[in-house]
Amino acid sequence: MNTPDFRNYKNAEIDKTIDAAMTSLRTITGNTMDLNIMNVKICSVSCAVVSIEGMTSTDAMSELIFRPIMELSAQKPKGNAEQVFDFLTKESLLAAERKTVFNYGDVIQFLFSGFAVIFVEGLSKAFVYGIQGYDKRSVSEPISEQTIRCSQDSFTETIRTNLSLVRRRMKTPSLRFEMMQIGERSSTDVCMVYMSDRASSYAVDRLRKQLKGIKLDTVLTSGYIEPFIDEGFGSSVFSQMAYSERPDMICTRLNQGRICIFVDGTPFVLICPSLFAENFQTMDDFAEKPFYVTFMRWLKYIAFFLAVAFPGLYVALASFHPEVFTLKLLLNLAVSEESTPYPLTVEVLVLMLLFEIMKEAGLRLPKPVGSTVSIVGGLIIGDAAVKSGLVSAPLLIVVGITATSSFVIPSLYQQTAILRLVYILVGGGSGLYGIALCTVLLMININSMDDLAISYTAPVTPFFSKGIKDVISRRSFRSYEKTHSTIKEYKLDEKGGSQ
Amino acid sequence: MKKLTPLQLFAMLICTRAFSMMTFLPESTANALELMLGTVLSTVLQIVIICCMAAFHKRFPNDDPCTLAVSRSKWAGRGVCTLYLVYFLAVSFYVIGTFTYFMDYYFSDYIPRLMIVISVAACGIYVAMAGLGVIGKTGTVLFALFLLVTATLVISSLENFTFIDFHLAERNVSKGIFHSAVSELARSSYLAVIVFLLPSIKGNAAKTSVYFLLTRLALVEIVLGFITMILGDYTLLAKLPFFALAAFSRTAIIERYDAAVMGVWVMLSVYKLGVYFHCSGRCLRYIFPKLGSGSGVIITAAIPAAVTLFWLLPHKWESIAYAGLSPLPLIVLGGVIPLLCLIFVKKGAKSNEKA
Repeated sequence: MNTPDFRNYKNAEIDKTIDAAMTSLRTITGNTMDLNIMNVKICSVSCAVVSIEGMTSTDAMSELIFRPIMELSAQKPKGNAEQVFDFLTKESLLAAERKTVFNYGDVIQFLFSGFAVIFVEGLSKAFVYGIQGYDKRSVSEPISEQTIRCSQDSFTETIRTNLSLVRRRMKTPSLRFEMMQIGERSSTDVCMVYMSDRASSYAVDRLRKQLKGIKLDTVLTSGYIEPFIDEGFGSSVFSQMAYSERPDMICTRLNQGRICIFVDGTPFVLICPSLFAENFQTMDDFAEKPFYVTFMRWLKYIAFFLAVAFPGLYVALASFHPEVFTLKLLLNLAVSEESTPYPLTVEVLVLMLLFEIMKEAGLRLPKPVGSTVSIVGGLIIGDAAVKSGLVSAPLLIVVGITATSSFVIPSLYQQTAILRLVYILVGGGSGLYGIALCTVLLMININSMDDLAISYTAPVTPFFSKGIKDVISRRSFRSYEKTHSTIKEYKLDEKGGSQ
Repeated sequence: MKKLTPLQLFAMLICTRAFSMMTFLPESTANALELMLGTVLSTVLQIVIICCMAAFHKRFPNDDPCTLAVSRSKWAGRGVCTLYLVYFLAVSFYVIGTFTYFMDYYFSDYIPRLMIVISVAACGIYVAMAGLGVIGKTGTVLFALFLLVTATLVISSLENFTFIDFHLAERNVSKGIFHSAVSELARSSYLAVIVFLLPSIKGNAAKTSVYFLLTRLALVEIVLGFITMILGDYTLLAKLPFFALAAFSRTAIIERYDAAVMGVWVMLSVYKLGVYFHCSGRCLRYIFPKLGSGSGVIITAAIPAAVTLFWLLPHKWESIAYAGLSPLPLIVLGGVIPLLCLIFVKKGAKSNEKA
C-alpha cells in the first residue's frame, strides 16, 4: 500500500505496524516540527503516543496517560496488543473525551484539536484522548454589548467554553447542540444550537443542509459562513443574521425559537433569523421597568432615523425646500451658510467622510492613541473648520447629532453609515424627491427579506398583533408568563402570506 | 406566488387610491358638497361591481377572469388578457404623466421631465419585480405614513376651520352629484386590480374590498370636507387642493407642510406604479407565457413611460390631465367580464379549481 500524504490521507486506514503508522503520519504532516511522537512499551507491546506540541497539557498527559500505562506495565509485564487496547479503552480512567479511530483523517482531526493519539503495534486502529492544553482567553466582560444590570460574561474564542456558558443557563434537555466541521483545510468546529421544542423543524433542516453544503477552504470567523446561510446577503442592505457575544442574549433568542451558530475561534455567535425590530432591543430591557424601556426603545427609533436621514434631509430642505423652515431659523441658516465657500452637499459629505475616517482610525489603533485621534478630530479639526469658515456651525451640529445617534444602535452601524451617504447624495441632488424615491426603494428592499420563511419586518408587516407590543413597548413579565411567543408565529405560509 | 393578507390588500388599495386623492383635480362645475355626495353615490356603484366580483370569486375561487379565459380558450384568453393589459398600461401612462407634470410644474423645476419619468419608472419596476407579497407589506407602512401626514395636516390647520365655506344652496344639485359620481368611478381603477388579483388574495376578498371602499369613502369625505372648510372657495381654484392645504398648514416648528406631503406623494406614486406594472407584467405573461417575469415588467413599464414622453416633452399634458375620464372600461373589466364568465363558463370546466 502506498504511504498516504496530505492529499489523500482522509480515508486511508491506519497501518498495523507502529513504524509504518509513524512514517505515514510524518509523511502526511510533512514531518512538521511540532509533531511529538513518544515510543513506549506497554506490557512489552510497542506503542506510540502522538501529540502536537503546545496543543496538549503536559500535566494531563502524565496524569491521565503515562501514569496508568506505567502502572499497567508494572502489574502485567507481558501481554498482547488486544489486551493493551482493551485496557486503554475499557479499564483505565483516562480523559473524559476519548474515541477509537480507524483512519488517518480522524487521527489528524483529533491530533490538531489537541488530543493525544495512542497507536498499538499490530492494530489498524488508534485511541484518542482529549487532553487539550492550549492557551485560551478566559471568559471576560462583553466589549460590544455592554449592559448595566445583566450578566457581565461574554463568549470567548473557544467553542466548548461558549457552549458550556449556554448550557449552564438553559438546563433543559430540549437544548440541542449539533457539531460539524466546516472548511476543507481548517476543519473548523461549527455548532448549530437550538431548542427542539421552540425552533421550527423546517428552519433547522434547511440551516443544517446549508451549513453542510459549505465548501470553503477555511472558516476563521462566523462572517465566512454568513453569506451561505443568509439568502439576501448579496441583495439586501440589511442582514437577517444577527450577532451576539452575550450568553444571556443567546439564551433569550434560543427560547424564542431561533437557531444559533457557534464557530470555533469567534466570540460572536450568529442568530438566525433575526428581525429588524430586535436591533433596538438589549438585555437591559428585561432588567428595567417597562415604561423606561419603552421610552428608550422609542429614543432608539428616533436615533436610527436621525443617523440615517438627518443630514440628507437637512441638505434637501436647506437646498431645495427652504420654505419649510420658520423664518428665524431660515435666516440663521442663511447667514451661517453665506460665509462658507462650498455647496452644502459637499460640506456635509466631506464632514461625514471625515467622521468615518476618524472613527475607523480610532477603532483600529491602540486604545491610548485612539482617544488622541478623537480629540484631534473632534476638537481641533471641528473647531478649526468652523473658525476658518470652511463649514458652518449649524452643519457641525447636524453632523454631531448624526454621529452620536449612529452609535446608539451599533448592530446597524454598517447600514446607517452607507445609507446616510446615499441620502446626502440624493438629497443634495434632487431634494425631497430623491429622498422619497430612496425611501420607497429601501422599504421594498427591507420587506423583501424573508429568510427561513420569517419576514425581517415582522411583526410590523406582516402585522402580528401579539408581537407588535414588543415593538412599541416591552411586554411585562406577567404577559410573558401567560403567553410565551416564539418566532414560529411569524412564519410565512407556503404562499408567502402570513398565517 | 405569494398571497396578500386582507390587511395588505386593504393597505395596497388605500395607497393606490391615496395617490389619486392627493392628485385630485376638482372640476369647476362641482362644488365641495356635490363632490362629497358624488363620492357616496360612486361608492354605492362600486359596491355593485364588487358584488359581481364576489359572485365570480365564489364560483371560481382559484381564478381571475384572465386565467379562467386562458384555460377556456386560447384566443378568448388572449383577448381578455389584452383588455386588462391595455387598461393597466393606460393607468400607468396616466400616473406617470400626471405625476411628472405636477412634479415639474409645482415642485422640482430643477429636474428635467425626462429624468423624472425615467427615475419614477425605474423605481416602479423595482417595486413590481419585488413581488406581490413585498408590495403588500410595503403598502401597510405607506398606509400608516399617509394617515400620519393627513392627520398632521388636519390638526395643524384646525385653527382655520369653519363651516360657512360649504355652499349648501346650489342649483342642479343632482346633475352635479351624478357628474361627480361618474368622475369618481372613473378614477377607481383599483376595481380592476381587485378582480385581477382575486386568486392572490387570502381570506374573503369581497369583504375586504367593501371595508376598503367604506374607509376610502370616509377618507375622501374627511379630506374633501377639511379642504373646503379650511380653504373655502379656493379649493375649486387650486390645481392640487391637497397640496394647497399642506402649504396652508403650519406649526411652531414647520412653516408649511407641502414639501413633506410631496415626499409622501412621490412614495405613493412609485408604489401605485409598482402595483400596475406588476399587474400588467402578469397580463403580458399570460399572453406570452415564455416571457420571464422581469422582462414582462420591464416591457410593460417601458411602454407607458415612453408614450408619456410624447405628451410631456412638448408640454401638452394638460390636455390629458383635464380631459374627463370615462368609467366604461372599469365597468367592463370590473363588472361585465366577471359577469360574462359567470354566465358562459360552467363551474369546473377546464378551470384551475382542481388546484
